[in-house]
Amino acid sequence: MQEFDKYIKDNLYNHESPVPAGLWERIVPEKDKKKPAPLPFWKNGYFQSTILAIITVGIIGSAYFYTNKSTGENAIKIKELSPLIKLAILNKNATGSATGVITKTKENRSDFTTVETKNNDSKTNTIHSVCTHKSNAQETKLKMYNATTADKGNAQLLADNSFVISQSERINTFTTNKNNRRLLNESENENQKFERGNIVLKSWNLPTDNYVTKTLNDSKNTITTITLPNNTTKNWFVELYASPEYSSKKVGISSSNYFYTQALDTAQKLSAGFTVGIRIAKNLTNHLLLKSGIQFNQINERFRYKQFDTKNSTVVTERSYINNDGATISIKDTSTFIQTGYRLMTSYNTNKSIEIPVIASWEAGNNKWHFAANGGIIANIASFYEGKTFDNNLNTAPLSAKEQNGVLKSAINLSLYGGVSFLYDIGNSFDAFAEPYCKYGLSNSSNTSFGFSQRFNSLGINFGIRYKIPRSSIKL
Amino acid sequence: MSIVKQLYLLSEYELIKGCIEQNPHTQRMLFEQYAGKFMSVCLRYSIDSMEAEDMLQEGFVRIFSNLHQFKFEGSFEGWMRRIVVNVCLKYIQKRKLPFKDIDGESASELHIQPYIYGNLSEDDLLKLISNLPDGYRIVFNLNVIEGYSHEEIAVMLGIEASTSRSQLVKARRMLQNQIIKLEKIAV
Repeated sequence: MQEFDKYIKDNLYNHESPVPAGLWERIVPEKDKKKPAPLPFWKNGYFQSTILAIITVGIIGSAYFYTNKSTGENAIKIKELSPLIKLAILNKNATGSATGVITKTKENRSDFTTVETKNNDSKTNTIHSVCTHKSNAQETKLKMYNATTADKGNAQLLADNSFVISQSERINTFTTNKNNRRLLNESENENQKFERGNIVLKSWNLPTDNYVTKTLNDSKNTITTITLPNNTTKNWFVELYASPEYSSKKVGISSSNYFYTQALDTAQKLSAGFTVGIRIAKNLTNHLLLKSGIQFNQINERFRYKQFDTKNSTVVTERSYINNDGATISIKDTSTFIQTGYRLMTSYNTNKSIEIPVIASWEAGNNKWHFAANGGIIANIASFYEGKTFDNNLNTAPLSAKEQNGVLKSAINLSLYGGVSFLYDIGNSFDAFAEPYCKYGLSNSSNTSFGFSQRFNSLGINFGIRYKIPRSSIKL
Repeated sequence: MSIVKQLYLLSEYELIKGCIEQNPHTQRMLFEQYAGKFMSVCLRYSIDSMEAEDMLQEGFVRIFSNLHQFKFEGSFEGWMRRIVVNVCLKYIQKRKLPFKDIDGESASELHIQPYIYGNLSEDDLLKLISNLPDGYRIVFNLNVIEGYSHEEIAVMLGIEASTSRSQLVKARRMLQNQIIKLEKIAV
């Protein structure tokens, strides 16, 4: 039946039938429908979703902040006090004064605040008045006045209540006069301490830019800490962070190298990478921070390729036969054959970068939570490649141009950075934060001499710790 | 310059590249070059010319959509032909193709001399094949003309390899009987 089958195949395999008229016109719209023209990036759903997410989170964060400002009984609003201090008030039982918590504040003057504490006996109040003023750019002076009331509403200023405040290396001693609040003396003596009276200034640090009131209890004392408005321009922060990151690659194709880029596209697959870094942040205004630092970014990629191999084999066949004379004749026949095949190889490529982030951050929040919207530029100042790729001839070549026949050169690239941050005060000047972000590559990150260009876009979420650098610490 | 003349000036590489770049002129040239052959393929699998047109249309749409996946391994025409055949099989599977024995058909094969079928034209052969029952025709096309093995056909159609073999034998037998009848009529 082979002849019959062959006859049929020979006649029909390449047989052509008339094509109905108009079929091409039916194919063209179908084909175009399958592959719509690429949209500009601002119409890309991925980009729009990211922007929408940032805006939504921003609105929610802002609404949360403005609706959750401290309004409780213990809330302190002392807007007029320009220098930031964190005030610890310790009511000493030994002095006969009652312990209590802050129940009320008054703002008598632009630079003057009265804090009233409720005593445990419920009959007397203690009024602690705090006044600060800024004497020069580096120094904050603080005045403090105390008073107790035997009965509610009848405040009496206490005489001779004095205490010592140290700020940097400067020691200021203040006291109050029964009828006239005034600064009595100043001293350079760092060792002076004073704990008389029913109120003692315990310590303060440069605080955050909002008003925090919290009550801490220990076995002996009740400590009420008041954080007053910040002089934000003096705040510095250090941020340490790390992020898992998923990147996508956008390849620009030169028409003459389409098949090269297609081969690369088939062989390469990006996998999860990461970023670690450190940033310094500084308050420019109450809400605006500028951040910059250095970070290390690694993009991982799996590269699969075929490694062709040829093997030459020599085969010696020995035969023997008996000739007419009865003798055994041995004949050796030598032949060679070539085996050609390939192995599927996998290379795990890494694209490492040293980057400089420059980010502006708008930040707001309440006592515990802060929200920030971030935007800026990431400058890739150095890149290091490891692994394999294809060269122009689709042969396997080292990824890094530093190696012989390597493909990719290190280049300086820029990326747009956008994201939001959620910060939570974990105490002792530390905040923990989570920062979802996206990076949009602005410039190409590979060697254009190969007729194509590529850039990376990334999504990630930074997890980190922020430390507020203390500028001064005052202890009694 | 006519499209046919231009075809000779374009290498296969340039043709593929142009189509990938969505060049309508090159796409039209590719269509002109292969549409006749693939129409013939579709006619052999379809139940009528209308279905063949639909198969060919979808086949070309798939070719243009997937051209970037062609890896230059093997024949380009063979790659396109596989796509067209797969489209045809998709249409056939929608009809739930029956692979049943036809009553009265013996599995034993006839041995006819080449001079008996040697005079048949290509169109005659196509007509004879199109008269075969669906199951016979599909297996015959896939095995004899496209060159797929019975194991491959079994996978493609979701049947046993033994079913494919028996369908082929019976298809061949039926075809030969028809050829002999035609020859007698001619005599």
